[in-house]
Amino acid sequence: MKADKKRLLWVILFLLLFGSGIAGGYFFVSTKFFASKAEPHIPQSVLQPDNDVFVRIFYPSDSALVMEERRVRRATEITMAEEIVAEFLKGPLNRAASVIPSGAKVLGLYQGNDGILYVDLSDEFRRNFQGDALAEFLLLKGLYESIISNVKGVNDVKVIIEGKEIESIGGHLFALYPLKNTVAEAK
Amino acid sequence: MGNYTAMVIRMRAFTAFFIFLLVCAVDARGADVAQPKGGGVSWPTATEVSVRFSRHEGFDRIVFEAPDELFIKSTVVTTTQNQIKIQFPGNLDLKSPGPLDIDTSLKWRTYLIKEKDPFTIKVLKLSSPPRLSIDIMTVQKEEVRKPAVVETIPSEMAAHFTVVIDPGHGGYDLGIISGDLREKDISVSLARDMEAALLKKKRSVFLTRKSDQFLSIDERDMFALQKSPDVFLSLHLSLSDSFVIYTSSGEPANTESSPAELYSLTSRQRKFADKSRALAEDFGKFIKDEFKTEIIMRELSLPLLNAIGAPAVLIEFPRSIVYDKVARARITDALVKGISFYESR
Repeated sequence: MKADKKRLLWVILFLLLFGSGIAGGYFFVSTKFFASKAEPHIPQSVLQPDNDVFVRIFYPSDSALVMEERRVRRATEITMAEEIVAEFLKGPLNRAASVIPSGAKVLGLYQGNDGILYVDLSDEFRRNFQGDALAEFLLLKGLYESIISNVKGVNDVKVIIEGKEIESIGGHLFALYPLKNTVAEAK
Repeated sequence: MGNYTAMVIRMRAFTAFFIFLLVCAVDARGADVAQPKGGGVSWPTATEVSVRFSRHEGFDRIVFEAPDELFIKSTVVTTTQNQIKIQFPGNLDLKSPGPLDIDTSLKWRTYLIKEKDPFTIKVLKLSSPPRLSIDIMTVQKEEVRKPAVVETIPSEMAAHFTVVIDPGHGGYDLGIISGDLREKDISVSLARDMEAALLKKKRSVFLTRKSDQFLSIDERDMFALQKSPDVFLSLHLSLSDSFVIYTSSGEPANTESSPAELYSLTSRQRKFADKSRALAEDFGKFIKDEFKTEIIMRELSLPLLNAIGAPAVLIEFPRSIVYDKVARARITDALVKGISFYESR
């Protein structure tokens, strides 16, 4: 009888030790070795088309801006702004008549405490721009309007090229300052 | 019975020990997950930060690049009279491609840059990759600028009616390209033709550039300011098949806290707005007479025109024209007539 009790205790002790070891080992291994490789948890709903959002992109066309609707992923404001700029750089459906510089890419977006959104673009945006004063005006106005009309919390937009401020994109208008005043009016 | 009690005690001790291990593991996981969310984040290990330094015309740039965007965002940059203090949020493992050509030191988490001359800085925090860019500009007591080009006529004629002609673009800024046509070449050819024609009429003429060189908008404006012209004319090409004449719209619609206002770039043209419109009409009239085509008049807040303290226009010529000698002569004739007519008003 005493021997049975003793055996039973050993079995319970073994099971406890084994269970604790497995649990502890799982947490330790998952924390130290797999944490960095784990995929970020994306709620399934985010990937559904229902969570995409239509945005209005303004493209230069002749002597005015034309609006086209594009679908982008609903995400944080900065991510959305980045997708909007990327859509803007793709150009309008009628790409042939566009003055959007070919090959230009978004390098990064950063929002300052002053509400200015800094849009860092690749050098192609400056280098491949082919246009007159009005085309340059509409290019900057289209970029500005596309961001401001879709992204909350942005007061102004400033273009930088390869992380640097430049004086002008096409030699007619300043890119040194945020765009709000630059694109404010034309008659 | 004694063995049984001892066994139970040992079993409890083992169980407590494993529960302790379990709690420690859960804690460690929680700490790792919490770190990237910010808010009291600390960097227990040294963050690898690369630093690059470069000298540019008018400013020096120092760039810190880190793998963690939050690390850059949490960095604070302050200045004193003779140094720039960069306070990083955690320990650094600073990597540099070579010795920096600048007086710096690193103490704990603080990076110091010492400057001999008065300076201003411009700080930019950027992502992709996360980096902190600091432009250091030395403040000059009196900003002295070199004239962009040499004068084209002797100084004794400076008392005459003075025209500054600005051929658009130049250097690596090609302007509009259409086949073999490059805007920077057409504009300088037209400017030279105009210069020759106006010199024959005993006018003082200055060109912002006479060769294929890049000039910034600011340099063109400064050149024009030095010459105090009676008329300023900037020559460009249009994407359209029309002649387009621009005058400044005076100032941006919203001047509230406009950074451009700080540089007084918009104020000079304001009082010449009417004269600029009159000049544009005169050019338009003679171009229309010569080419029998409609002229597009536009007002736009162009920084080049905004800063000119004189009647100023920017003319775009159709890119569809073949700019041979004959076409250039017709354009030049129309523009010179326009200037003469404006002068006689």
